[in-house]
Amino acid sequence: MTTQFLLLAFMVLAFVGLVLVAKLPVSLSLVITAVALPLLAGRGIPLDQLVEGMFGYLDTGLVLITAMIFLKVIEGNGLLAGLTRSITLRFGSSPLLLLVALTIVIMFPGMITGSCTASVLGTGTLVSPILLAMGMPLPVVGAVISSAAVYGMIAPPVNIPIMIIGGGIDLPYIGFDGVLALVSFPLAILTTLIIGYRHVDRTALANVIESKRAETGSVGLAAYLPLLVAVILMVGPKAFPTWFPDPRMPLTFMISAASGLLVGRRFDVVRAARAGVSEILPVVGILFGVGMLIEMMTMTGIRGAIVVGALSVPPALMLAVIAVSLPLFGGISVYGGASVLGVPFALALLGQNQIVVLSALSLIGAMGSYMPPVALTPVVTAQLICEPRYGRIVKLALLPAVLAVLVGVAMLVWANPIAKFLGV
Amino acid sequence: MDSTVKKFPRLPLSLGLVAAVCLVLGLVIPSDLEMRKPDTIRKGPGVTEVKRLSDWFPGLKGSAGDSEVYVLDSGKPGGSALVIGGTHPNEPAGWMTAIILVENAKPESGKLFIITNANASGFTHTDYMEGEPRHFTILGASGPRKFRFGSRATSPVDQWPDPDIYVHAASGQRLSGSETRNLNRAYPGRPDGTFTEKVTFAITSMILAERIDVTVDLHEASPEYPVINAIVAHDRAMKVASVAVLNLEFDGVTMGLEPSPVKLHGLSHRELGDATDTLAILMEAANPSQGRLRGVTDEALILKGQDPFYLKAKALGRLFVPYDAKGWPLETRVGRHAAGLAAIFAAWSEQHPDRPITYEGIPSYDEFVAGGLGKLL
Repeated sequence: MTTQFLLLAFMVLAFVGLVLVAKLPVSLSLVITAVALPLLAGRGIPLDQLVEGMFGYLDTGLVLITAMIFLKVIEGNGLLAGLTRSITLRFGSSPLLLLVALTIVIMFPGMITGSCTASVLGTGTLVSPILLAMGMPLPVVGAVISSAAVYGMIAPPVNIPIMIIGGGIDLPYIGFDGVLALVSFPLAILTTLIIGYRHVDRTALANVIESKRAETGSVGLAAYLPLLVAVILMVGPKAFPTWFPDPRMPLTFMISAASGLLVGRRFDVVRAARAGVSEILPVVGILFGVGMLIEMMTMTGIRGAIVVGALSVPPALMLAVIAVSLPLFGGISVYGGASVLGVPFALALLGQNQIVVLSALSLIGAMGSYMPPVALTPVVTAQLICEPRYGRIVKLALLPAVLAVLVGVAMLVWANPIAKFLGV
Repeated sequence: MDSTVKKFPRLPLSLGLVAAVCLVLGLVIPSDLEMRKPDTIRKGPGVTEVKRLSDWFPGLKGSAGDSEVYVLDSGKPGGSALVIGGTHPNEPAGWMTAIILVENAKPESGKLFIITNANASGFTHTDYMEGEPRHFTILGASGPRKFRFGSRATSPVDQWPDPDIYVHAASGQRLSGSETRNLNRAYPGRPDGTFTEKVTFAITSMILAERIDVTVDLHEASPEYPVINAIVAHDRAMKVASVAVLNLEFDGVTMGLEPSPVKLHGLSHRELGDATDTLAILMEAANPSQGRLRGVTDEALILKGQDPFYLKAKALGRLFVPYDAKGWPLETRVGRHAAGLAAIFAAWSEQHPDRPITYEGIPSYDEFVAGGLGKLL
């Protein structure tokens, strides 16, 4: 195992050196590290596996690219501005109520797709102008959107990390909805309020409401068509799985974007789409690099060393290890962390109520969404709101995330009493 | 040229990148195509016919899911059995046992149907980010035999993209989206379903059409998985399975017995037992090369099953199987499956003397452990 930890040290040093000293892009640094790792381990350059690793994030990359095109279309045809106006006018009089409503709006796509990216790029897009109008600084807006999106990922009815862990221990995805709802909604709302409420500028909001009220040239109801199409295509397959065809996420965004061209203002769609793809391409590049690196970590035994190392701690420290290692692994992939670490941890906690344990593990693991090098949720949010440094978003979201991890640990400690109390 | 470069300053970089991508693809594509070539499986003395799944479900004809079905008919009265290997191509002991049967078994009574590559599409690729080798070689009696080490799931080339969540059609059970390409979550299948569901539909149709008495699905599991070195049996198969487990114990092969969970849908031991009259059974061996705790992932790990990380995990009490420096070699895992099959068919024959299923030509567990696998290939 010493060899693997030496390789791990080399990997971290090489990656950090390439990014900070050589000033190379993160994606390229990941690729170079991924190629160097097997060379150092005496495995040559395993080209097949390096290319294969890249494909591990192909689907996510496609979702990101198509979602950005969708975003640019609804920006171009005026829907985004129109929606911002109507929400601000309707709920602007009560900032608290507005924040609670917006949190649930951000969570919604994540709840039905199990993906926080869907939340960020779906409703996060719609909500960001409103949050800015409330007077929140850019990083605060990013932190509110990121946090709500992360809770959307674990909120019922779809929680993919639990499905992944459940698949590894033969536990069907049944009976989780109540526990997940009790965990995710209060924490999500609390997080939004902790991060955002004190930044609400009532005077600014009142001025914005006035200016919005004075605005003319409303886009009309027809402009909402792309949003309606997106909601139908996302909800339909989940609500009516036996007869509603599932177009999957990339096609959902493309069809919705196409419908946006039929309504609202006219604009240069090719230019808008190119801009969207250009903005998101660095993130896709990072994901592909991460895929290569994980493949090499598995091949050289580093992944196994991390898992066995985490399981090697005394039982008393197990909870601490879970609290640290699951979010850390989430820095590569939350789903990957659920599979690689979540399953062994769930097996190690077999004596506890499995529904509460898996809910807690998914909560803790989801907080890895903020962790570098991928930090997918804040990175995508930063791209979306044009915040140049995603680290500022992470900084603001960190304290509530630690709180969530502590809640998760408490759930693990008292899993059986909680289960008894809730009747699960 | 200079003026072109001035006009398009990023042209050299773009051309360089395109050239690099072409070079990488040129090096990778031949290896990818190699994975699509089926392994050589020789027709043994007992094989009387080679059919395909499309013989029972024409909807698969010409597709990558149209797996071969080897028929070993004794020509004498008896029961019928289906052995399924290759449900998960990354679990080699399962499909290697099926190959050993095809190449060596001589039926004495009844009729055997054997599928070696149930998810033929899964053999054409490996799992993303798992760092697995694509082939492994066994020194057989006739020389080196090269086999593909595939993926747990259908290739995305044949079924893609995955939904966010996979809803099992018959039960409405929801699983992670990637399970939509898992053959052993797709039973009993649908004629108009996904590629994977069509394959399971063909298998279900075959069982119904051929009135197959016993179906055994051969698998492997990682050593940290609780259901391991075990037989999982449908309610109606428990009588046969429990006698088989007892007999195996007498022969020195410890095998657990698990009832098929009623609430876990899509698996062969549950759905085939519910949808047909067959006695549906699944067997698991211990395979470190598919575990999450494994160290260096290479051909040796597949063949020898020796891993220092699993030794440590055993010392920590994290495993559900015995584990020592000898590991779990492929010979031992195949030997367990072969012994398990023999015990199941013996128990069936004992309980249904009018419909026996017997064959010869397959060594005992001890002979496999002593290196008998290579001799049979």
